[in-house]
Amino acid sequence: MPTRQEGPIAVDRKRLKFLVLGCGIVATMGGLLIVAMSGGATYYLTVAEFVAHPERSAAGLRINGKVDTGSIVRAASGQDVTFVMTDGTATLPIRYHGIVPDTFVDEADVVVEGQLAADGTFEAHTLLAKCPSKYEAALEDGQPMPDHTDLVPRPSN
Amino acid sequence: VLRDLTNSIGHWGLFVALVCAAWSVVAALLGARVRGRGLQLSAERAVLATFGLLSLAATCLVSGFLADDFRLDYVYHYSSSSQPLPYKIGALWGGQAGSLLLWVLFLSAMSSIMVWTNRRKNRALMPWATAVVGATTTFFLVLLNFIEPPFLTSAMRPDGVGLNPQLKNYWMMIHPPCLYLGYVGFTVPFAFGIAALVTRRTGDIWFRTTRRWTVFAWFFLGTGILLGAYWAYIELGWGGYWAWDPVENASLMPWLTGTAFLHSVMIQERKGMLKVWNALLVILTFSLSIFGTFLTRSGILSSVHSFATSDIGPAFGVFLALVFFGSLLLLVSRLDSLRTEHRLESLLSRESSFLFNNLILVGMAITVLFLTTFPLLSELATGRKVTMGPPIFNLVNIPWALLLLTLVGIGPMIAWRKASRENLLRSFVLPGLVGTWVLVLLLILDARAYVAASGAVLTAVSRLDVQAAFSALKTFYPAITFGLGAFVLATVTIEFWRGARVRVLNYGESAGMALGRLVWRNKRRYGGYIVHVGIVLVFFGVAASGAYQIETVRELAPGEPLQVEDYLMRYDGYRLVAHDDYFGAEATLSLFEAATGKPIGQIETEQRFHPNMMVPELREAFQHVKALGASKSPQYGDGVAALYRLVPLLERQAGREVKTLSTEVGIHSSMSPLAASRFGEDVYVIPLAIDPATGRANFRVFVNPMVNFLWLGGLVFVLGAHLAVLPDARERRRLDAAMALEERSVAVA
Repeated sequence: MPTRQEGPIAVDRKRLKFLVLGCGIVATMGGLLIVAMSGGATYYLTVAEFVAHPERSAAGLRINGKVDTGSIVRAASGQDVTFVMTDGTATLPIRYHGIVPDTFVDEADVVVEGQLAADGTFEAHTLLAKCPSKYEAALEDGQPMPDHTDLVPRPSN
Repeated sequence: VLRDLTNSIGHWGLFVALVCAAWSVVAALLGARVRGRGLQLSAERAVLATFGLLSLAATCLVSGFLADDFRLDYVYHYSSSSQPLPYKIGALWGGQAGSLLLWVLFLSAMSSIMVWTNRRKNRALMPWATAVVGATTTFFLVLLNFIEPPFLTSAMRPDGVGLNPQLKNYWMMIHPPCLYLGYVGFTVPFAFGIAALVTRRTGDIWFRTTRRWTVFAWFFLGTGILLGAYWAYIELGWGGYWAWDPVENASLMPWLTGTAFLHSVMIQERKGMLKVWNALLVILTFSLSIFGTFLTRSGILSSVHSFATSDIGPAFGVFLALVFFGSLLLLVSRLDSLRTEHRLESLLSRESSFLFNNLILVGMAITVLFLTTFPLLSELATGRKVTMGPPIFNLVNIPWALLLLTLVGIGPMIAWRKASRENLLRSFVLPGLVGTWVLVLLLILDARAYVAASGAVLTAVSRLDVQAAFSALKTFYPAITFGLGAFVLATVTIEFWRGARVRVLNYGESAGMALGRLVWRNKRRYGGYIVHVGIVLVFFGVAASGAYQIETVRELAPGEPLQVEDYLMRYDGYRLVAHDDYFGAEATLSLFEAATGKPIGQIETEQRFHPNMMVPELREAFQHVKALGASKSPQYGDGVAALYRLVPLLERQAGREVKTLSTEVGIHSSMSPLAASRFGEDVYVIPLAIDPATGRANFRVFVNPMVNFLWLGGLVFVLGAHLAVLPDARERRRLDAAMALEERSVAVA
C-alpha cells in the first residue's frame, strides 16, 4: 500500500480533505433543501376546515376534497367550470377559470387555490385533479375505489 | 365452461406457483448448508416451475380479456367489448392485480435466466442468490394469492367499464412493462450482492457476474422514465413532460442510485476500493425499486389514511423494512470482509471524481425521497396535509444536476490515482475553451436579460435571501447547461478522435473503419460515452423547453388566423367523428412561416368524449351513430351532433356526468436541418372546446423550443446502453480468469 509509506499524518490530512469536501457537499444539499422547503411548502385544508375558518384563506393555502357527483357545470369555452367540492362533511361551491384537466370528473380528488368571493363562492385560480382510479386507493371497507363510471345505476340483469 | 376452467387454472396456477417459489427458498437455504447439488438443483427447478406456472396464469388472464369474460372482476374493470385489441392485452397491467402479476412474471423470468446461465458457474453464491430472488417472488405471490387475487369472479355483466381513456396510448402501454423490467432487474444484482456478503466472497465476482443485469435494469428503468415523460407530453396536454409527481419520482430514485452503482463498481473493479459503498448502493437501489412499486401500488400517495385501509400497503411496508434493515444488518456484520485495498490519493483523480458523482447522485435520490415522502410524514405527525411543488424540486436539484454534468465531462478523462499537470492540460484545455466560448456567446446574445438577472442575484445575496438568489439564478441555467454540455461533447469528441487516430496511424485503417473498430473493441467504454452524449442532449432539451416555452390561449372561428412567435397558424376547419369508444371533433390547422408565408405543415387535434357504456340510452345512441359512420351515411355528422346534445340531457337525468373527456394533442415538430434555428422545436396545440354546431374552437398553443432533443437524447441513450451490454470477448475472458482464481483460493482455504 503506497499510502502507508507517507506516514499517518499525510494520510490523515488527505482523508481530512475528502471528508471536508464530502461533508461540504452533503451540508450544502441539506441547506438548499431547507431553504427550498421553507419558502415553497404549502399546506392543504380540508373543505370542512376551510368552511369553519374561511379567513385563513391566505396565500400558500390550498383546499382539497372531492368533486361532488353531478355538480360539474362546464361552460362552452372549455375554460370555465363551476362545481361543488366536498369532503364528506362540508361542501363548498367553486368557480374556476383556466385550463380544466381531463382528469377532472365526478368523484375526482381535486385541489384548488384561490380566494372566497363576496357571493360565498370560492374563486379558484388553480385546479388540480387526480382521477380516482389512477392510484388504486381503497375505500374504508377494503373495496377497491370504484371507477368514475361505476356509480351509474347498472342494468338490472 | 371452458372459461370457468381457464379461470380456475389461472387461480390455482398462482397458488401452485406460490408453493414452488416458497420451496425454492427453503431448498436453496438448505442446499447452501448441505454438500452436493441435490437440494440446490431442486431449488433451481422450482424457480423454473414458478416461471412456467406464472406464464400459464398470465395467459389465462389475457385470454379472459380477449374473450370479453366480464365475469372476471378484473376484466370488467379494465376492458370493454369496444376496446381495441392492443388495449385489451395492455389492460392486463391497467390495474393493481394485473400489474403485480406482470411484475412477478418478469421477476420469475429473470430468476429463471439467472438460474439457467449460472447452472455451472458461481456455485458458492448461487444458493443464496436463488434464495433471495425466491423470497422476493414468494412475497409477491402471497400478495397475488391472498390479498389481491386477479381471478375474482362475479355474475356475468353485459359490458365492461373500460380502461381510463388517458391510458389508451401506445406509449402508455409499453411504459409500465418497461418500468417493471427495470424495477425487477435490480433484484438479480441485489441477490448476488447479498450472496457475496453472506459467503464473505466480497471480491468483484458478484458485480462483474451481474454487470449486464445491472445495465439491463438501469436501461429499462431509464427508458421507462423517458417513455412516461413522452406519454405525459403527448397525452396529458399541459405542454410539459415532467411534474415531479410521486410516481415519476418513484422511478427516478432507483435510477439515480443505479447510475451511481454502475459507476462506482468500476472503481472497485479497478482498485478494490469502495466495497462497503457498492454493497450499500445495491441494497439502496433494490430497496428503492421495491419502494417505487410500493409508492405506486399501495395507495399511500393519495393519503396516509388510505394506505392504512389499503390491502397491500402494510404487507409492502413490512417486506420493505425487512429487505432494507435486514440487508443493512448483514452488511454491518460483514464489515471486516470489506476492507479497502487502496486509499484515495488525490482530489484530482478519477477515483475522486467518481466518488463525487456518486455523492451527488445519491444525494439527489435522497433529496427526492425526502421531498416525496415529506407530505406523508407531515400528515402522520401533524395531521395536516402539505404539498411539495415542482419549484422546490427544481430549486434543489438543478444546481446539483449541473455539477453532475460537469463531472460527466471530467470523470472519464481524468487520470487514475493522481492527475498530472500534463493530463489536465491535455484533456481539459480545449473542451474548457469550447464550453466557455459557448457560455460567453450565449450570455452576450441575450446580454440585457443577463445583466438584469445578475442585478437581481446581487440584491438577493446582499439581503441574504438565498431563495430569491436561486430563483434569480434560474435565468442563467440554460446558458450554463449549454456551456457545460458543449464541454462534455468536446471531451467525448476528443476521446473518439484520439482513439481512432491511433488506429489509423498504427494499423493504417481508414478513418471510418478505425472509428468502428475502436467502438466495437471497447463496447463498454465507448457505449458509456455514447450514453453520456445522450444525457447531454436530454439536458439541452430540458433546459431550453423548460426556460423558453411560450403559451397562448385563443378562441378561433374556422378560417381565422393566429400568429404565435414566428409562426402563423390558420384554423382550417373541423369534422365530427365517432370511433372505437368515443365521439368528438377533429380540428385541422395549417402552419406557415409568419415572415414569408411559406407553408410548414398541418396539425390535427381532437377533443373526445368517451360515453359511459353503462347508460343504456347513451350506449345505444352511440352504437347507432358509429354504424352510421361505418355505412358512410350522410346523417353521420348530424348523428354525432345529436350525441353532443344527448349527453347533457342524460346527465341531468342521472345526476352525474356520463362522459369522460380526453384530448388528442396536435404536434408539429421541426426536425429539418434546413430550419436550423427551429431544429427540435414543437408547435403543440390542444382544443379546450370545439362547438359542434359552428366549429368555433378555443385553442391552447405552446411553442416548445428544442424539446425534441430530449427524445433524441433518449434514442442515443438507448443506442449507447445497447452497445455497452453486448457480449464482449475480452471482458468475458477476464471474468472467467477472475472466477477461476477465486475458486482456487477458496479451495485452498
